[in-house]
Amino acid sequence: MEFRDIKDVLTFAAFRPEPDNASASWNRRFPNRRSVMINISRGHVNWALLNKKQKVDDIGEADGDFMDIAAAMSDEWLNYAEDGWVGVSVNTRFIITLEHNLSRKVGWEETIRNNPKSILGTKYDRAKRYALHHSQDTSSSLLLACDQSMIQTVEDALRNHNLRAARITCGLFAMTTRLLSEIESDAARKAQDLIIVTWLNNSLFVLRQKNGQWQDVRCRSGLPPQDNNSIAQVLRPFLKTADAGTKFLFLADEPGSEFEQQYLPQLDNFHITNLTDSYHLWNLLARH
Amino acid sequence: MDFIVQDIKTDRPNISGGLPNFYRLIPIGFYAVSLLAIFANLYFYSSLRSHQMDERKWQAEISRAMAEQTGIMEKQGRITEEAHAAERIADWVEGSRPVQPITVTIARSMMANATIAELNMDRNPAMPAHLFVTLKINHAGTEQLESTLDDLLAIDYQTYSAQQVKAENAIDFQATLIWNKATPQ
Repeated sequence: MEFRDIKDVLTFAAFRPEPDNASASWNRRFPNRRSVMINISRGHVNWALLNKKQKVDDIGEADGDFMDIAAAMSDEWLNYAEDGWVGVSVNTRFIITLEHNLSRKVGWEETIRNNPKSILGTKYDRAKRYALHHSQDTSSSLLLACDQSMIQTVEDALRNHNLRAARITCGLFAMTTRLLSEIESDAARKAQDLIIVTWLNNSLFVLRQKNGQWQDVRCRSGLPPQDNNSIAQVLRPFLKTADAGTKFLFLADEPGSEFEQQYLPQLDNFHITNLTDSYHLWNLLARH
Repeated sequence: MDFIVQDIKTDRPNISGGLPNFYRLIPIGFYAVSLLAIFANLYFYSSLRSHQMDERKWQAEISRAMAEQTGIMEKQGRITEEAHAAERIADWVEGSRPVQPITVTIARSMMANATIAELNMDRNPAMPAHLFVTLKINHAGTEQLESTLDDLLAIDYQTYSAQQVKAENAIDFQATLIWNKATPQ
């Protein structure tokens, strides 16, 4: 037993999950500790400095490759984050798909991380990392598949600058699944005919829910708001099936995003609820 | 169940979920015992100070009592000495009881103007029945001496080896007195 172990017991640090424990929420891992959140998109990186109360202290963004931006910003991140732990949101080279009848055996949260083949079977691709979100009432599941090489690149880049990834997630997937969890716990919303649109830094996710069933899902990353054709290609199938009773739920990482300004006005004939609030992504990642 | 953001990083082996909450009793106990020890130390320290103050007070009290005792002992010593002196006087008075009639007789035999300048009586340890008397009388003559000897004879004391020296207006007399009743008949 080292002195540090005794100190950790006496400061109650030994009773907290370790900073990179995936089964614990961020605020349990970093109580009264500052941390840095980084969202990596294609050709763009934005970050937030969270204070000890896990509130956003400062934000920043830069265009360019993550490796270059990490090299430029690592000192600031290292100085701010305690012990060099950072939270990363990967917003590129991923796909979210709708799956059915995936195994939900006890401990599936660990299994999808350590042995995804046992859950995904033939759908498993060894070059991917996976995350799952199950519908509570149906056999549907949302499956996130992210390029393993992307994850390893991020981890290597952080390690080269003495930073450590406490968590690597997909911000869009986290925002979407959090919203779906809220809808599932709200009986009134669960019964509605919904089209859920989530947007995060050029990544778009759309899900159609009818009678509590997830019917269709489309997801694209690296989609600039100016690319009307691509965006229309994602949205069109949902708009075709929408009727007067269909409600749109829109959620983005920040209010006033380019997507919000450009496309929401075009959906005026539908009932749209914009759930976006300030620092939505950072607050979500800091709380959960 | 609380929502937890999904994690897809490469897991480090042996990631700890933290010690069970039950073991929080250990640091809590440690702090409780430490706190108790601090309070106990404060209590014992204040008790020690209090006892030291009491001890100083009682030491002063003992010193004062000792001084008082010494004073009393000195007084007692003086009283004892006085008592011893008184006892000696009493003893002397008791021891001089046999010669008191002689002294009283001589004193009563003095005529007007005659004064006893000196009166000594010494008993010979070898012959306790013999008492050597030296008497010096001022303002007296032979009549006075004869009167005194008559009075001594009246109380059964006989004089032997009497010597007298007549000076002007004074007389010195020496003799050995023997009590007649002490002599076997």
